[in-house]
Amino acid sequence: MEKENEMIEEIVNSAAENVTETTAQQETAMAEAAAQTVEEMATEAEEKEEKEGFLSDNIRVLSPGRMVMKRFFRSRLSLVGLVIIVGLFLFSFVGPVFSSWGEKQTDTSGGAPIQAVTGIEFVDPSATDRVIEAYIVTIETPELNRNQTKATADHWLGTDDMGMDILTRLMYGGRISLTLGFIVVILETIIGIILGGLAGYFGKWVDMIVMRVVDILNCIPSLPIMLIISVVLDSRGVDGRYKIYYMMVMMTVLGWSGIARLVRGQILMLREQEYMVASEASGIPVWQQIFKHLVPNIMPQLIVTMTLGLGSIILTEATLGFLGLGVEFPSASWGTMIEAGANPDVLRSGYWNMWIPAGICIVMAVLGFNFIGDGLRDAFDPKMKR
Amino acid sequence: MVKYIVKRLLMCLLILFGVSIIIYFLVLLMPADYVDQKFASQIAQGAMDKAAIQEMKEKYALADKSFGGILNGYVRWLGGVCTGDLGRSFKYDMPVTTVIVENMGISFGISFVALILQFVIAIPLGIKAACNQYGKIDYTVTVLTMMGISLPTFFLAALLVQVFSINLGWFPVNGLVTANLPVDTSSFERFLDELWHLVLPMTTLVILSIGGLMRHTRTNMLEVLNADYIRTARAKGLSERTVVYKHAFKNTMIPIVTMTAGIIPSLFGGAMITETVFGIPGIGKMAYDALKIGDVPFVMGYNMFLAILTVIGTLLSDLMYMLVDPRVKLTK
Amino acid sequence: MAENKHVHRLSAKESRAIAKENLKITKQYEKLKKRKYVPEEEYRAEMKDEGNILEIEDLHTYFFTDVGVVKAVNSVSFSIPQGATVGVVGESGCGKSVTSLSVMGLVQGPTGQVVGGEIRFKSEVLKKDEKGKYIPIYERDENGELIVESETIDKKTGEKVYRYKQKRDETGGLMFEKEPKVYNLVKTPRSEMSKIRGREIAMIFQEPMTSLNPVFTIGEQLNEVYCLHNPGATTEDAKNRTYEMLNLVGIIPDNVYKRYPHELSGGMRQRVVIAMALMCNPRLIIGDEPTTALDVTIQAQILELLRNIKTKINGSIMLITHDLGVIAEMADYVVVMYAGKVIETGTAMEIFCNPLHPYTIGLQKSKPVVNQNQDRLYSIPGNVPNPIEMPTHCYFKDRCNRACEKCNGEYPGYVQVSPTHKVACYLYEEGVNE
Repeated sequence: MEKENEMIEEIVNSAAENVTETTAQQETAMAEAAAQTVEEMATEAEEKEEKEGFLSDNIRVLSPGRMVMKRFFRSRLSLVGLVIIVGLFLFSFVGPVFSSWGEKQTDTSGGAPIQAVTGIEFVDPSATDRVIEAYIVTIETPELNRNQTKATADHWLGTDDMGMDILTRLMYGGRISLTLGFIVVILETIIGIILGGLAGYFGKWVDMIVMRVVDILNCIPSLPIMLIISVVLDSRGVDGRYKIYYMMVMMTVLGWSGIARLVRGQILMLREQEYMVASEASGIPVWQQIFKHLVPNIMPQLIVTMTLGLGSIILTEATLGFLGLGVEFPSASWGTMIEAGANPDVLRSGYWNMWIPAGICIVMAVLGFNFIGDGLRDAFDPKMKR
Repeated sequence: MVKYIVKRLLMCLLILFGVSIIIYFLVLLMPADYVDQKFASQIAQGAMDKAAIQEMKEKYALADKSFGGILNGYVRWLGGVCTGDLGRSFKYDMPVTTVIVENMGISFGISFVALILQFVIAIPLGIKAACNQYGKIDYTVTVLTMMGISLPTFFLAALLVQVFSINLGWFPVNGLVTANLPVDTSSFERFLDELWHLVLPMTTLVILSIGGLMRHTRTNMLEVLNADYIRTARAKGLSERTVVYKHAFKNTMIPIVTMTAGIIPSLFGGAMITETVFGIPGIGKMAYDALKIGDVPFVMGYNMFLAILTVIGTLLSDLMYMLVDPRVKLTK
Repeated sequence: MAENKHVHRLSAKESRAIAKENLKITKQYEKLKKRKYVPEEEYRAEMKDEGNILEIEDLHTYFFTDVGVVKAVNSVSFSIPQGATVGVVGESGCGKSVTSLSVMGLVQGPTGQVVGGEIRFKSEVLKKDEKGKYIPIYERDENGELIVESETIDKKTGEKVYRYKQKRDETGGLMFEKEPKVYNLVKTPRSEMSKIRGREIAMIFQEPMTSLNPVFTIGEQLNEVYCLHNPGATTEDAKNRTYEMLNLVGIIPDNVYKRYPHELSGGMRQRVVIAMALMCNPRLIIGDEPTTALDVTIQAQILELLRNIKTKINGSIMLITHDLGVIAEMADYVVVMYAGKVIETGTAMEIFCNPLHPYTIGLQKSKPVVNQNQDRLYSIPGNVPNPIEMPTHCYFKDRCNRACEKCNGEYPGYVQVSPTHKVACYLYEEGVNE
């Protein structure tokens, strides 16, 4: 019951800001009784302020920031999300320091030792008639990759089919996946804000064009387009190592429409507000007003959209990786690593450690971002106030 | 009403036009000798002559990349699209339209069953969760929802295959029919065999899509339950059941019903990744195979097909909204 | 909110403790409410005065919010006599609406909970026979014989089955035997409560724009109430009654019956809301600022309407408003509330001609009066105190212009000035000279 919540809020804040009916009535009466000196009014206002200052001394309210924090942390899930994401970041960016393996380093200790025995005879120089028989034993270990092992003491998650340590690769993969996610989201947001802002501020034909482009982008099926782009890049002979960056650029180009829509909607809403008209009448430039009101109005929604967007971009990157269009081997990314799961032979072989850990990392990352995004949305939305 | 629909239809055409230009531009980025390479074997076998290839190059403006060439090619291609001719697929050596129509059935079947299951499961759970906000059911539903949203399709599919097909052996790993089915199998048994193959793909689709719908239902329901008219309904003396399942439900369903129309593209367009992982010869897998090798006519055709579906979906959902919600007036 | 340096911000630790405590308490209350079976003895009560229809005694309704417990209603007691109109006045946020919602059992949980006190309501419950069916009252002709309405032949036994004509009440509903029972509404379970709401106690809400369900037609929403509380009523019966009520509130029924709420203006909607409340001839009507959202001309019409209906059905009205004019017009008794407490009660005459509490006096002074040459309108200084940490002394002390030494002591008790007039102020205690 929203009304009731408002009522409670009103009760809570009444001492600080409430304009009571009596004062409202007083105001109307004041208009009627116009014969009032300005000085009187001023002194009265001062008195009132003093009084209110005194009264609000004992008011206990939460600062807006803390309110959001509090509501955010009340939900267990958002806390879990935060822990997951911080954990994944530490794992990816600090983890490799503690790992004895490198991203592309192959474990070549895979060969079994081979013994070679050579017998020699030689004559004892001191006693010429004596012949000594001796054997030289050499143990050789040929350099062979330790391919596809299950968890061992020096490879906690085993090795992949090239003999690389899976745990270490997960860490490096996390770097790429998380970094790409952040870059794409930030770029998307910047483009979205600029274009959405232009559309909302200028309106008319600018709005028309931007919004039609948004409509068109919404109708473009993303996965097929990604496949085509991959083919185009291949056909033009683009180096496989850089392919993923082109793909990310395309994802950005296709992905800004949501944020543009959000920004435009907010600006249009602000324009309709009465205080806009008032500020225009008093000579304050409209853009200044819009900017001033837009930032606090839109920040919560932007943050939420960006957080949720991070999850979906990591998902897309992984999908591309799974389809073999992602980061080129031997560089690691979660998507590339999970590609092993596409191979039924790998599934049958029982080496699940090759693809399931990567999948779990992806799920955790997406889940973490979603939890945080959801928690933030609930925290920012005053309607959810309990 | 008619005026509005006409206006919307014109807008849709404009959008489709934009989509076609973008896809055409992408294809244009391919080098000119690309088609030659693709058809090298066919030419060698004499299955295709140079003239046909030249025509194709012109149509997709691969040979002549001057402005005139592009324009010429685009107009020819567009003319074809308008008459329903989407070109001839390299990979399947059939008209693209035929490939799409022939393989759409199975995709539609899977998606449709999954859709119904999804509704039957998600909506009641969403409502339950909203009625017990911050309760146990709510938390469970929220976590399940999040899992559904966060699981990558391929990962879930691969997991299901690993567990249920390889480890437990309950379901086939992939494909739609058992390889060496006896000749005398009745059509009903064949149908059952197909169903048996489709259990895992359908499960994948349901698990993945259930989360979003559940969340949607929950949020809407929560919003509605806080409304003043729900308090009025309670004040009338209606039981909690009637309040929730009659007064709140109808308000909640409005956005959900309209959202349903937006599902059309995935209903007909095929689930690309699921079908690929499970090896089901639906439109999704066909498209994936063709797209991966850069089958230019198919690329253009399939993407246009999807775009048209999306446009129809949005249009329908807007129209539905008008029909369902009495508040929306046709004044635009 | 105006940024103020004096404001004391809660630390994270404090607020966490509050939230934890709240959860514990609200969970308990919710659990109590969610019980499947509640024995009737638990919510039966006895009226103190048989002439009353509603008695509120020591009612406490708290909201367990993030910043602390808000005692929105803090020990409120008053009663509503049969057939009378009781006006409840006070500033915004003084607990008027929460009191009414507590009576209806509609305080929004889990945050809001009625934590103590009794609300006794003289209910007329439909009597049930051994089979759990309602007992119909049949009409009899001048010889005292039942009137046969229709006869059918039982297919199995071949015997004639008669249906007798059942009596109808003034709303057109079939009549059943009733028995008076007094319920304590605070403890009445939801299932019983829903039989009282709408049928015996009806509420007119403050927001006409949002109080009607946007996806049902006006007709559907009105019929629903009727069918719900009249067992065996047909849609035809309901429609008749709806038409009657719409006529009564001054709307041409054909114009709105098939319309949706958004197609009506605010005034029309408020009339519909009133019609809805009056569908079943409730014995108690709670009007929560029923006229605040309307313009003055319509306001007068609606008040007139309420008054007419009240006399017609011999109901009682609890009228919540901050408009003293409305109270003067309508009320027999007045309850003045301040910060969750009743500070003065009395008949309308007593409150208007002889207001005692400084707050009541202030309220009246802040109303403009025509003909009087006033330079400035009086306004009570300051605002309602913060409801979370209420002082132990009189809540009005800080704003009172007549506060004396004694006011720093405990919260004042009631002083009975006349049999009907009570005031909670030290100024009128014996031995205190004005």
